[in-house]
Order: sequence, then C-alpha cells, then structure tokens
Amino acid sequence: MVGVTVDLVTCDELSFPQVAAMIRTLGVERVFDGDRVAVVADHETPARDLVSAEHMKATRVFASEFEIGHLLDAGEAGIVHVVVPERGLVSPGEIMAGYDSHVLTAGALGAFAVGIGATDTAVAMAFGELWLRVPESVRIVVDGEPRPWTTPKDVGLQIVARLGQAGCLYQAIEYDGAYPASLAMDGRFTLVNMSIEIGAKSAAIEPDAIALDYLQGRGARISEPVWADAGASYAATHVFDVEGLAPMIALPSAPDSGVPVSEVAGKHVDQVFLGTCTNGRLTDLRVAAAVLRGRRVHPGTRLVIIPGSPEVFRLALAEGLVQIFADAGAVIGPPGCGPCAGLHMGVLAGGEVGLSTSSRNFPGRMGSPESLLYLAGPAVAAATAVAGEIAGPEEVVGTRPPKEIAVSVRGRVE
Amino acid sequence: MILGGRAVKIGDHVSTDQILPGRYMSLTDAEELGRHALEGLDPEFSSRISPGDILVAGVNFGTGSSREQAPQALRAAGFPAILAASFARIFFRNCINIGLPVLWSPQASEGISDGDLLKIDTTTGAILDETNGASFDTSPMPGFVASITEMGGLIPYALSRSGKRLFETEGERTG
Ligand code: SF4
Repeated sequence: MVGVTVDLVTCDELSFPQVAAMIRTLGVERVFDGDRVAVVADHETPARDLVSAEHMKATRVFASEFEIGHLLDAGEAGIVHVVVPERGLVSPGEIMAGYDSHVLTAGALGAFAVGIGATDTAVAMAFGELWLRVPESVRIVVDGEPRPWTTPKDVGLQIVARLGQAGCLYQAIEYDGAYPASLAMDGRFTLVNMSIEIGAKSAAIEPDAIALDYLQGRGARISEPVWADAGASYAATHVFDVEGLAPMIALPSAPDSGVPVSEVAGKHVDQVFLGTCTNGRLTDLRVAAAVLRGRRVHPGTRLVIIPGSPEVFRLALAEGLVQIFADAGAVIGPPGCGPCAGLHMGVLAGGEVGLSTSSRNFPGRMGSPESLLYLAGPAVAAATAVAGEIAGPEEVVGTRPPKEIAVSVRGRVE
Repeated sequence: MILGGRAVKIGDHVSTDQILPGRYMSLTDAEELGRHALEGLDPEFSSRISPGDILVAGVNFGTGSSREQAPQALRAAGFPAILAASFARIFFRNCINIGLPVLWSPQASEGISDGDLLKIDTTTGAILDETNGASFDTSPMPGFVASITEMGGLIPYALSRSGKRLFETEGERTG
C-alpha cells in the first residue's frame, strides 16, 4: 500500500451529491486545488427529472462554495472520460482518480488513471491524497493488420472475449505492439476504455508524439512522462495477432462473448445506439457517417446518436456529419452518456433488442431487464441501422471504407 | 482487535447487486440498509444472521458496481469483519474506507464451514477455527490501512490527521 498525491480527481453529476455530503463532514472550506477537481454532468444531463434537476442545482451551489475549478454543465457537459482529456486536464505520467469504473480511459495518454469509491473521492477532493494497493503489471501486445473496416472497438472486443471478465483482475495493463502505436488518440481511448471489462485496475499506452500532439493547445501541464523501463518485469504477457480480424460483436448479456459479426448476421435489432465513453468520439462518428452517407435507417429500426462531448459535436457539425446523420433519419441527442446505463434518452423497452457501441451489456443495462443488448463498433452499428438487422459494413457498403471520408478507421489521415 | 463469532458462508462471485440490490441504494438509515444485506442472494438472509457473525465469502467478493452502500449494508447487518478468498477491487477499498476490517485468505475461505466458531485477530491477521481446530495466517493490513479500519474509516482517519499528510508510505511498499 502506498499513499499518493493526485493530479486530478473527477466525479460525474449523478454520484456527486453523495460525495459532496462527505466533503462537508471533512471540515474543509474548499477543495485541495480547484484546478485539479472536475465534476462533469454526463449521466442525466440536461436534467431528466425533478430529482436530477435539484441535485444539479445543489451541485452548482456546492461547486462555487468549495471553489471547484471545473464544473462542466449545460453547454460544457459531456462524458467525463471524453471531456477530461479534451480539456487537457490530465497529462502523461500524472495520477488521476475518479468515482467511476471507466476513469482508466485517460491511461491512453500515459496517465495512471483509476476508479475509486465515494469516500475516496471525497477525501481526494478535500486533501489531494489517495491510498493505493500497488498493482501487478501485465502486457498486452497487439500486432497485425486487421480488415479495412475493423475498428479499435472490434480489436477490444476480441481481447475481452479471449481474456474473459476476470482476465486481468486488479492488474495494471500496458498496451504494446504495432497496432496500438498505429492508432490516433480516439482509437487508443477506445482500446484502453474497454480494459475495465477484463477487470483491470488501470491501463495505459506509452505516451508518444501522437499523445503529445493531441495535448498541444489544450492547456495541459506537460511534464516528463514516466514509463516502464525497458526490461521491466510483468506478471503476464498476452499476445494478440489481429491480422485479418473481421468486425466483431458481443452477444447478450456479457462483454466477453464477442464473435465475428457474420455469426449472428440477420438478427433483427429495434434500436442502435452510437455514442458512449467507448465510441462517442469524432473518429467513431466519421466511421458511422461513411456508412450512413446517402443511406437511410431501416424503417423497422431506430438509430440514436449521441456525441461524447461538445467538442465532438461541434467538429461533427463542421464536417457535415450531423447533416449526414439527420438525412439518414437518426435521432441526435445532446452530449452525455445517453441511454448507456439505462438512465436517459433512449432506453430499451421489455422484449426489445438493442445494439450499442458501449463497453458493457449486462442484463438490463440499457433499460428493461427483459431487453437484450449486443455490443459492436461504429461501423457495425451504422450498418445494422441501415439493414434493420445485424450486418457488417462490408455487406452494406463494400470491403473498403469510401475514400472521401479521408480517414482510416484508425483515425489518421492516410 | 480480537473478534469472536460464528461463520456465515456464502459462495463465489457474489456481486454488489446481490449484497445490496440497486432498489435500496437511496436508503440512508443504517439499520434499514442492514436489513436488506445480501437480500439479492437470499431474500431471508437477514433472518439467518445475528450481530457479531463473521461473513466468509468465496472468490471475487463484491464484484460489479462501485456502490459504497454495499459494504455499509454488511456492516449495518452486524458483521464486524469480512473474510474472503479474494475481493473485487473497488469493493475492497470501500470496506477499508468505511472501517470494515477485511481478511484475504483463499485457504481460510476453503477450510472454514458454515456455523464454525471463529476467533480473528484483525491486527495480526491470524484466524482460528475453534470448531475444527484449523488456523490460518493472513497478512495483516499494513500501516495506515490498519489505522483507517481501526479508526472506523477514512473520514475519521482523515479528520484525525489535522493537516498532516494523510498516508505515510515509507517502508510500506508491499506490492
Ligand atoms: S458512457 Fe456509459 S460507461 Fe461511459 S461513463 Fe457514461 S454510463 Fe458509464
């Protein structure tokens, strides 16, 4: 066990009232450093009912009283795990902790980012300190060239399927190999985000020029990144060859049940949801737009698209993606988690079948306990919306993404 | 701290959903939380236990959502300590942070039967099964983590530090 000083503490608006009450009992007048505390509205924003409206009102008052530097609400609201890196709130080598399991997403920038409990969050916000049990490190090495439409999400589903839900319990993962290094930040966030589904405490990719370029102009405190020494020892090394990997889909109701899409093609889907901290970034929307351009959502299926953040929304608007989605007949929601946790804007009714680009599909996750949920990446999600049944982009569009979208599924201009 | 109590055994992978079903998350009264402890595993669970019993769980205890009400419900149900073959990560933290002693031992979880009388020293980590005579050693909680549980949780612990660094780490890098 070690005690550490945290560089950033985060919380979402849904959990914050519980944390705020504890901070009050700690007898502090303000948080330890306003600039290093972020409370981000994402789960039920804009307020979904009277309870969440009252909570958010109390949170605004608390944030100004305790001098929280980053209360991101209304036009600044978005999924905390998307917004934190965009705003340069965390940098390579820093320690970040927050009250949510997907906090580890920021590890894609080479930060040590961990999910913690409510009391931890209150104490960390008040004093800037946290206790940690030092985790074992494991390496996941990913090499090979998947099929043209195969996205980082598909690679992630393959990793989760092979290692299983407790495959890396309590361990710190380092992603290595040519595949992660070839991804732009959007894809790296997707890959690292999914590590929680194999039980990891944290996950990271070595910060390189791509990570540092991403942070340029975002006001980040760039220091000297720390990284594992060459020859560091690992509890295990898992090697994945993704050469020729086809798009994947996880079956209801476990994230580690991934199979190639072709195995379940043709099954009816009532609603497709594109968004979340796993796949709600610009690259994901571009890939979906490449499928949806000039096509219509099938009349028997609904398509809900929710950008992960205001920045993603603005860029998607400027690039014409939002127009493509609207023309295709999609519903476009304001930035946030949307129906991902079964709370807001587009939950599933009993007996319905959904397909989501999120990372978890436990029973009842996106609505009724009697609903079923598949997980896939943005290309499969968009193709399924067009077909009205589970389908891969190769069947709907052709073997290659159209050239005019000017980016590969890895998020980099070719 | 020396604790004596009867073992109440439960199985592997018991989730926070089973420890405290989501519909009770808004309860704030400790006693009420305690009445619903482990209701998701057995609706009659609270009638099977008495205060002072020691919960003995299998592997990956407390998996699932990070709700802190789950360990709170167990403490309110009267368990003075929890022993498990292994714990899910955030649940393990949450137990310590609310001052509920945790002992981590696959051997003890295996070797203890339901209803056995146990004697546990939460300071040294020693466990004695008085019914079958078996004893088990677990590693004691190091330094400040022991103080956190002894003081009743992270909040009273933090208040007691009055301005000093919260966690002294020298010589405690146990991996
Ligand atoms: S998008 Fe889903 S998984 Fe991500 S933080 Fe929101 S509710 Fe959690």
